[in-house]
Amino acid sequence: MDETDAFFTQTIVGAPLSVLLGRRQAHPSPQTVGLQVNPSTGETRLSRVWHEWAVLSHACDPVGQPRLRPGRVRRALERHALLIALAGALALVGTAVFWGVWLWS
Amino acid sequence: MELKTPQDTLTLDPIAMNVVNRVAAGTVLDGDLQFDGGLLVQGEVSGQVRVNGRLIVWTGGVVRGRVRVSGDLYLFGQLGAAGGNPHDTSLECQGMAYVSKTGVSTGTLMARRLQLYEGADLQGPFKTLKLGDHLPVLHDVHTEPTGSP
Repeated sequence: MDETDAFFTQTIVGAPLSVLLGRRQAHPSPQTVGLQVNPSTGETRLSRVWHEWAVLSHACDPVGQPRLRPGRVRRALERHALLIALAGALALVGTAVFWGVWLWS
Repeated sequence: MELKTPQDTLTLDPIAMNVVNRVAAGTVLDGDLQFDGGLLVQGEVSGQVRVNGRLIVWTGGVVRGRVRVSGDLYLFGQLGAAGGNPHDTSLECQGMAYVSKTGVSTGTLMARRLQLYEGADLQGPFKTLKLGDHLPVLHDVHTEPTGSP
C-alpha cells in the first residue's frame, strides 16, 4: 500500500481504534505459566498474561489478533500518564529549588 | 465466588489490516459483489458477496446472502436477517471468526476456527471448515468462450 492508498484508506475507512470484544467463552489458561516453549521449533515466548505486562508497546503485535484488556490500575495510570509525569517533574524542580535555597542560606 | 476471565480488546487498524473498503451506515448494497481487500460493514450488504481479506461487521451493520471471506471475520453486528432462516444466509470464512458480545448470527456460519465472547448470540448453526472444504464455485472456474467453427 503506497502513501496515497494509505491516505485514502485512513480518510474513508477511519483511523485505528481499539474496540472491546468481551470475555472469552473458554476455560482460562493457567495464570502461572510464564514461558511457553514450542516443542517442535524450540521457540520460547512469554505467555499471554505476562506478555501484557512485560510489553509496553503493542505496535509490533500480530495484526488483527485480540489481546487482553489492560487492568483497571494500568488503564488509570495510562489515562493520567501526563499528569503523573508533570507531578514528577514539578517535584524534582521543587526539591532542587528547596535544596538550592537551603544551601544558599 | 465467580471467577471472571479477563476481557479482550482488538485494535482495528485499517491500513495494517488492509481494510480498504467501507460500507457506511445507511448504505444498502445488494447483488453480486466482490471486494478486493478487507471490508468494514456499517450499513447493509446482501447477495453473493466475496471478500478477499478481512470482514468486519460493525455494530448496526448487517450482512445477508452467500458470503465468502478469505480472511478473518469480526462480527460486532448482525449476520443474517433478524429472525431469518439459517438457510437464507451462509458465511464461509477461511480464517478465524470472532463473534463479539454484541454479535448476532441467524445464518449459517462456517469457519476454520471460532472464538465466541460472552453475550454473543449464535442462533444459526456453525460448521468447522477443514482444509479440503474450500471447493471452487462457478466464479472460480474460467471457461473458454465457445467460438464459432
